[in-house]
Amino acid sequence: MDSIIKRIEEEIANFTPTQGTEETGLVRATGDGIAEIDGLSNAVMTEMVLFDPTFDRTLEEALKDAAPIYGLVLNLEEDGVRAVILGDGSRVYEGMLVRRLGRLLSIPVGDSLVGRVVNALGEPVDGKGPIKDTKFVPIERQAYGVMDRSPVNVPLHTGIKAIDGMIPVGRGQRELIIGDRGVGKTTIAIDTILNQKNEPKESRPICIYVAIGQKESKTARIVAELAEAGAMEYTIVVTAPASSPAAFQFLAPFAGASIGEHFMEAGKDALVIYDDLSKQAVAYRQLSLLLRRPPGREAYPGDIFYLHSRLLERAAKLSQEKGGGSLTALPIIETQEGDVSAYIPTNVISITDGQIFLLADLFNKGMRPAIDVGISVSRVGSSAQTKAMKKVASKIKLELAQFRELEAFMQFASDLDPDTKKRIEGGQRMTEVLKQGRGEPLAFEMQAIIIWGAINGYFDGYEPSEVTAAEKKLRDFIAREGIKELEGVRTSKDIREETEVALHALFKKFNERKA
Amino acid sequence: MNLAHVYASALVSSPEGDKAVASLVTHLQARGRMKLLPRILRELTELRERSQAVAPTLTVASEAEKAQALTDSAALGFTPDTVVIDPTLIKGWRATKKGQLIDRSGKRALTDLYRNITT
Repeated sequence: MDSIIKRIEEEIANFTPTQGTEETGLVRATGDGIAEIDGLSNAVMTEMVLFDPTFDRTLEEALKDAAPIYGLVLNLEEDGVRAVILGDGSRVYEGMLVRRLGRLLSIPVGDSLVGRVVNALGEPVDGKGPIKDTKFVPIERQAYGVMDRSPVNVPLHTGIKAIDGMIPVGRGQRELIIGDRGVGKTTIAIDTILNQKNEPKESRPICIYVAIGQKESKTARIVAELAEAGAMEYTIVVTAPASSPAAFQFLAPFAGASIGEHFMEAGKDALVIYDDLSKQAVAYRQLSLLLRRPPGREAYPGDIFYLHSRLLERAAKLSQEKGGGSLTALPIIETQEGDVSAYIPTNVISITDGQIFLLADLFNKGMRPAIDVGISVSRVGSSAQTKAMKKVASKIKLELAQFRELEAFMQFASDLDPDTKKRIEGGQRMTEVLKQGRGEPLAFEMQAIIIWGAINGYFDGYEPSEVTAAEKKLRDFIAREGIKELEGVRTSKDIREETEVALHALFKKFNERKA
Repeated sequence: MNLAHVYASALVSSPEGDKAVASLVTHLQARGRMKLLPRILRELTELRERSQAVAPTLTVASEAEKAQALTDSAALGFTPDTVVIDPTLIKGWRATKKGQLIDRSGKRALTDLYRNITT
């Protein structure tokens, strides 16, 4: 024993640290999650710094509070820098030593993130232990250029008839989901994740759900819902709850994009949902004002457009030379009283490749999802639609457009001519067919067959109020007796002549049973 | 950045010393801004404190290690204005100078080791 103690004492006596030169600064002032730092004249934008709580304390005190506090440099000034504190700001004090870390803010990414819930810095928050086999990538990076991209031509099915039929989303597209609070924006996003279970495993996109400024109870409910449906097998949740510092809420979407890019660069497909970017904009406004940047319209800083454009530009469909992977983005924006002409909504509308408008009026009328198909649009997705969907979608669009024209005359129903009445009823039936409950995404072949039935008049024997119930029964019937037809549409991605013949027979059989 | 800070910084960086102060006072009188003088003084005091905080300092764990620390730090091009003895360093030394830090103390090594193990 004595010899061991003597040996360790010798080791300590001979220990010679070889630490090199580091660049340091001193905290001049701190408050509201922001630190003004003297020095660090060589620091660069978005570089990480370390606030060292151990520097001017004894070892015993230092070890009690040794957890590092990181900061992110966001303002470079004449005699110092301003940084946001990524953590507990109350531990940072005036005169505290700050070290440059010489690296940009990075997060760990890797396949092992799948199924996990992480914060904006990629640290696990689900209590399932550390995440292994990861590599660090910068949270901010340049989006891929024109030559590295290929056109969007593969569909990303949401499982929602109204969207896949009329506002299709392609892999690599950026489609905005916009509407007031409580009209079903998150529901569409979650249903889209759930629907990926219907995709073959080899082409199933990895889904990343980024919760920004949400209540933790809501995020917990979503995680539980995804886990229960088995969707966490291909999903990662990045959370920056309302209780987290504004810096985390500003960074979370970038973390989600970096994770998505990891899968895209590996030649896979990924889907990232930013829920929601209005809250990110508010967090960024808070940071900018505290950093004393000049406020602009609605007190947002001048670079608020660039904040969203550089984030959404990272969604891409890569060329075959780059591996052919894709990153699809579904940003969500919350409007106030349906006002889409506010600053942030107009910015994001102009950045994205289309938008899905959800209306509170439709929602209150019982239309679920409450999509206004008249003003919703997808700018690139239609070229990614399957032949089967294309065949049926053009007819629903026309029928619904005619219905909208005549909708105003509905109150004079008794005075209308039979043709107009028929068109109105047809539109009402089609609207009912497009209704879909929460958590009930449908595989594209099932959607195509139901819409095919609707445009071929197989719901004409029902009163509009009976259509929803009939459609539910039809789904069960097709799943039971139309396996061959479903398989035919799934494999060919088309409704061929022979399939059409079989579908006519199938629908006749269904209606005969009703009779 | 306020006007008082700008004037104070200009005075500090001016090679003309007293002449610069006199010129500044004349300028402030001519502009009717003599009220700024106390604020300029406050800014100057802050600037002095800040420059003292970054003055070259060598901190050594014990008197016995002082000579070796001076030799080692000089080999790295470091000449301290002041040398401080701080036993909380446990062993070794650390040198600070205008935003540069060389920390070769036992405390730093042990803290880093603790962090690597626990985080």
